[in-house]
Amino acid sequence: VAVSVSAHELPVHEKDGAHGFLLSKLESWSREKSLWPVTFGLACCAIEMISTSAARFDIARFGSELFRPSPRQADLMIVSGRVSQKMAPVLREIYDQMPEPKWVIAMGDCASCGGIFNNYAIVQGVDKIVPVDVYIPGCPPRPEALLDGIIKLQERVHEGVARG
Amino acid sequence: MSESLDQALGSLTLPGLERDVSADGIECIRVNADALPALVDAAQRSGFARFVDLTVVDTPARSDRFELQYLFHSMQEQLWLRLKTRTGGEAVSIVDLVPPANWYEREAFDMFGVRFVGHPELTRILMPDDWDGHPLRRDVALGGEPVEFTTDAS
Repeated sequence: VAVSVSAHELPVHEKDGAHGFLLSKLESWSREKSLWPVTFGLACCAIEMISTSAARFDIARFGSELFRPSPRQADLMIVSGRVSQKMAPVLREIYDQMPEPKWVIAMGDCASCGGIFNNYAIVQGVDKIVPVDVYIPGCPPRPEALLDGIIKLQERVHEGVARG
Repeated sequence: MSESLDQALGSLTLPGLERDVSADGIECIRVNADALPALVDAAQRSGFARFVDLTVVDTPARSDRFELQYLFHSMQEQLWLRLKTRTGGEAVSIVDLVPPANWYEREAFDMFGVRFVGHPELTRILMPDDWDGHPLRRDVALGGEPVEFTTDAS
């Protein structure tokens, strides 16, 4: 496997020596290319998320086709839809059950900031309960936007910015 | 108009009975809150066996602020029937007559705080259990967070 290594990327890896450096490079490379999302569809955005994983948009091209029903096997949570006050503790528990490193994408306006539902029932942004790496605007965002968000996350994982 | 319902109502004395037809052609019957179970029973025996919906209208200015509206449907006659009653916060549960009304009454309790006497388990169904208040009452604030922008173009 060819892994491109350039000198300016050195400071982001904590491991010492050439072997450790290569290992951590491999690590982030393997992580970024197989971000397995946990199945967590909440609302209309979930329909776009399902569409993203289906044949036409084919999320498998980016290594994220394996939506896991168990949070124990997932390392990406795509919060696709509005999070109600009652769902918030459930979402947090599922996030806590995911093994580290783990990342979160807030898909759509509702997950990002509450969207049009500025009221008693909806959490005004999922970043109030879990740390979010990438926000995707849209109501709902098209599958291309979700793919773009996943690619953005992959880049950030690669650069070592989003460390999970 | 359903003839069998007319017959069933003819043999009953229901306090506060008023009949009306709504703009969309659905027959509406209003009674006092205490008489509602008898009315529901009569409607069920007249073929309005399908319970469709229970909704609440809140008018805080009135002492009997909650208007409960029960929607029934008759499969035989293809007719709709709306039963209405008003209450200040307490109503008789119809769960023993109409088991599907169970969750509807819980929702009405959760959202409006209407207490249904005789309900087997009157607890919140939508909001978290430790929620304070009843969010769909008109005198309860909408909640949410203040926003920076306005829809006022001027």
